Amino acid sequence: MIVITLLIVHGLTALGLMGALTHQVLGELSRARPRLSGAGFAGRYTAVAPRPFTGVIVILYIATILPGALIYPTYRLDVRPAFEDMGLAWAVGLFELKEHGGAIGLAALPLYLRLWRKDGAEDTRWPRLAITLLLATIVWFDFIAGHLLNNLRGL
Amino acid sequence: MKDLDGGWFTVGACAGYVLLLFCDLPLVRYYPLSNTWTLHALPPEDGPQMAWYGLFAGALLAGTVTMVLARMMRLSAVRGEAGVGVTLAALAGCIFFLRGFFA
Repeated sequence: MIVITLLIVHGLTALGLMGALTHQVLGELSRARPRLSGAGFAGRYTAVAPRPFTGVIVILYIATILPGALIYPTYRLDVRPAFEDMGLAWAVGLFELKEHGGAIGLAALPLYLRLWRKDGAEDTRWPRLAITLLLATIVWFDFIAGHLLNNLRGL
Repeated sequence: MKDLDGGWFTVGACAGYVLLLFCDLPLVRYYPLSNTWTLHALPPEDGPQMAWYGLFAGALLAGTVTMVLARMMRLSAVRGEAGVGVTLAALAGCIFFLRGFFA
């Protein structure tokens, strides 16, 4: 029951993180390319100020990785052997990639924080966008990979 | 603390993570079957091992040491482009390391 609860918390925080990162990337992109903004839904969606998302994203990233780290042993004992028995080496590899990606993303958070804290600095705009896009890609990938693997063999 | 640059932490932690991964040198290994934490690999009878916690602990250590050394050597802050490049290279290294699973 604890494992299932942690898995649900892991998924829900990941969903919030994915939304916040996507919002921040599109908000920053619309500032770099003003023609992307407009009066419609897309314009309103990207019209947000991206900087206030930073702290929430760091907290959500840590809050997502913690329950994932706690349920990892259950995966290692119950799920991975099943993948190996089914000959699904790619599924094992997908999970490994998800975990390494998550760790690299966590290691990138201090740089991400620093780039967003330099208020209004034009010379950090593209690195700031790049690191945010990279984190968003990791989180989207991990979310989809996690769901796919859980559908193959749940905890 | 105020002068410590998070960019150097990211560079050290990403490089350290990939290096430890390639050399199979996690700081600690965890054996969930016997609930054992150890510095060395145990025989197969002890069940599957988990290196991820040890890899991550090693990366944290490498990042912290790099950040403190950069401060002691009075290095300027890492350029954003360089930090992003190292992070991307670390991800590419992980993908390369895992290529056997997808062959």
